[in-house]
Amino acid sequence: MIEIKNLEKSFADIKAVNHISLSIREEEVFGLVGTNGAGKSTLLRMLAGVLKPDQGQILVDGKEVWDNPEAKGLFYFIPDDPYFFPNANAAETEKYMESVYPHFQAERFDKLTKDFGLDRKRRISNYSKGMKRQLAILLGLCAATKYLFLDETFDGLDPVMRQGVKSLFAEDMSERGLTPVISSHNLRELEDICDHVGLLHKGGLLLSEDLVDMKLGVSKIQCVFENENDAGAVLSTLRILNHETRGRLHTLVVRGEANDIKAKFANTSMVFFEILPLTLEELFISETEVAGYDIKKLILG
Amino acid sequence: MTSRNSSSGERRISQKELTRRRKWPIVCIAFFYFLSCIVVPLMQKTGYDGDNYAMIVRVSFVHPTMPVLFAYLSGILLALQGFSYLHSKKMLDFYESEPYTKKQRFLAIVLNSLMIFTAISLVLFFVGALLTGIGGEIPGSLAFGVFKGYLLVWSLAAAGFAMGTLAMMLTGNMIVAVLAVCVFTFYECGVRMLRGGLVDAFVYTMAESYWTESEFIVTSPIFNSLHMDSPARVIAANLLCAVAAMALAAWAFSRRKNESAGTAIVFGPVRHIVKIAMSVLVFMYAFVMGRSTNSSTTQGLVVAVIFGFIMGMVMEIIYDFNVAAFKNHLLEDGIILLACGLSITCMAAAGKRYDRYLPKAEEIVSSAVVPDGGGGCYDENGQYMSSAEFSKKYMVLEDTEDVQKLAQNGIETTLDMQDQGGAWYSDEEHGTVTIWWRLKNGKTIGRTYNVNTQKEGDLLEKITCQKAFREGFFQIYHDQYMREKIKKSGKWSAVFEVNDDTNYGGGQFWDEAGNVYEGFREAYMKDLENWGYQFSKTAGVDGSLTFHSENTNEDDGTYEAYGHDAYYDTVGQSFTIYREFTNTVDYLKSVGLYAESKTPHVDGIFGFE
Repeated sequence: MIEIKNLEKSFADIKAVNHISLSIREEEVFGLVGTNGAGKSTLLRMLAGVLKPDQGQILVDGKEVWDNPEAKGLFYFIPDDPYFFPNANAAETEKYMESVYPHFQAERFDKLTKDFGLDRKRRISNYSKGMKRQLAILLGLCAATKYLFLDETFDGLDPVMRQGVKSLFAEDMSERGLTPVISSHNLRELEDICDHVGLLHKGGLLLSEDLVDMKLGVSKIQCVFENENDAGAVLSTLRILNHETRGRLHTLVVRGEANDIKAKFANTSMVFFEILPLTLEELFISETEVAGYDIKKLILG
Repeated sequence: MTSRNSSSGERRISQKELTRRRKWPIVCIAFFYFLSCIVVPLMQKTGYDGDNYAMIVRVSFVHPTMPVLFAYLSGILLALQGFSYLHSKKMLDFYESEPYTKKQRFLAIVLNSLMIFTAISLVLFFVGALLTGIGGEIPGSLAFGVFKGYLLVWSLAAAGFAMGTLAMMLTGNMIVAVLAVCVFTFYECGVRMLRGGLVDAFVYTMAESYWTESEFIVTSPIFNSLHMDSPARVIAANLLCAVAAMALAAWAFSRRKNESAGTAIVFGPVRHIVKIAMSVLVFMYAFVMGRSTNSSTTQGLVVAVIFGFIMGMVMEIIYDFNVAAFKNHLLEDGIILLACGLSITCMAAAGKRYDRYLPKAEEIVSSAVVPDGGGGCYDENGQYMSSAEFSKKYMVLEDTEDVQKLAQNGIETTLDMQDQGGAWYSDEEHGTVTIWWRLKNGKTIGRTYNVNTQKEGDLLEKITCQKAFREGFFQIYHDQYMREKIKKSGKWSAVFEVNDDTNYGGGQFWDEAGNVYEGFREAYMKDLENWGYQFSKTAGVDGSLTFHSENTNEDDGTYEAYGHDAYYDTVGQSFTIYREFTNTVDYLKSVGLYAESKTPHVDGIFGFE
């Protein structure tokens, strides 16, 4: 488990991370969301032991991260612009990683590079940006560490590659208990992979919740009432988070479980009624509007 | 290879992998030492026969120049390349997230760098010495000399590496790091050279040289390695410099924040210190240059202020990598320059006090008076020195009244001449004289004055006719070293050069037994009893006689002791031959070493070359 307690980090006059506390449980995918400059990369770099916090504590499985090889041996960090040795190829980089990470899976790396179409003998400097990111992810996975930190790594991957990586994550999570921590400024990227999401804004943590819990408490409904009186009567019984109308079609995001909501509509004759799945974006918008933030401005990627 | 102990979490950074990432510095160092230790000496060897191979080995490996230069460069290169990751955010993300401590990485890079340099330079240095010496007569002592030569090279590489590392720790950008290395290497040299200019600006009676090649530069190992005569001292100094710089670097490394990658200077106070140091240096140099055209202090100050401000602005631009930053901290620049201006004023006042200094008679134990224009000579131990140093050591004039009068008049003459356009020159009426006072408090104070030789003729005559003066002025009274050298060594030559514009050389004499010198010595000392100021002013000079050794003589173990050239081991002295020195002239005629000049030339005041 990763525990972050009251973390602070400033660069000159800018407070990049401001009193953040959160926990990252094992074997679940943690998504770190926020706009550019929210503090995601700074937070991840502190998690990875690259930057020293000004205040606060970061514990990985109970061990302080800063300048501690025992803690650092538990994770692998993939930054947004990964570094590769000049003039090196994937095979040479693999050799280097084997010397650093004791459980590096060389055979698996060889297989994955073939599967993903990466030429191991070709200079990495001649790879495209997307190929470099793929290579970085494969190296991270094959390092076989318990935690994997990815800073906006998914951004820039094509949809096919993204799916491939997601299935690899799922495989590693079930086989060896991998815990990925992924940052992104794009909610849609993390939609189908994250179990838990933390939203950063201007260095602070706006919310940190399990997606399941968020979804349980919120429902999205599309409906058409027979008349305005019915609409008024039913809508007044709901805790509405968001309400849009197009003609007679109402699209509602309401707090409450689906069955409870259905029960409130049961006694009213409806022209149309359907409960729809919520996107991560809609969840966030709902949750943060309540807190007074116009999240649409913050997160629409 | 990696060593792991998973139960304690300890891992060691793989030296093999580190080395794999350092190919280009390895190639550069290998090239440097292949060139300087193999190619150049072997090329030199082709121009000589076997008798001279030892000399080439000595020049290339015992007192090496190219390997020394390359050692410093190599050390700096290894430091800049080894710690380059600290200046790149990408590289920091990569390396700092790895499971090693910062200390492990620091030590691994230091060890790797020293291993790379040692492995390459050691092999090429000794293989080069061997190849150069093969086929020649090489004495056993030379092997020790080669070993010492390598120690010098290695110690300088260590010092260069330490300085390069310190530069990397204090900066966040490679270009600024290179500038920092230049500052470390040359700043103290610059300050010491500046000292001469400032002394010239404010002091007109300074006696001793303020800049000699043998002066020790604390923070410039490369300078010391190329100029100092004592290898053991230089090696010790280099190692001390390396240890001190590395300790500072380690401290800076522990305090340095990774987010400072990409900035110019990592630590705030260092920014201010460097800016002050550079602004003051530029101000002072600009003052000296600005003043040099017409000796105007005001002009010097104006130029200094302009350049001082420019330097301050340039520093701000470098710090921020932004031309628009020139206007930052102008107030700070102003304060620095104001302080510099005040210091100039203080220096001017101090200079005046210095020039007017005259010790009280009751403070003086003895004095020495040295006319300028004397050449270098050897003391009784073979130490080569200027005539001023020689007289400071040997001349003991106990009657100080005349010397004080000469000094008092010298102060007024010197300052008058300075006001009229410059002191310290000689013409028909003026010459220069250095006076040393040995005081009761143990100090020895010296001043050099202009004297009006026409007005001071009587004083000069009284002083120079004393036996104590002669015994402190002429090397022949302390020539034990030369006499021993003559007895021990092989051939010695004596050459009489006629003092005639069209006729040089009057004979060359190879004296294997040294008897000619003894005979000459006896005659010359007898003639010197008649020497004095008036004599030197009016006597006819026929020429000079030079005694000179021609052979090396390293076996007596003295060739390194006194700063002599390592393999020439030359010792020589010239003696002015006056026509009126009848004993000397008769003796030289008897041994066939005399030629009369057709146009006898009367030198300056005292007639010595």
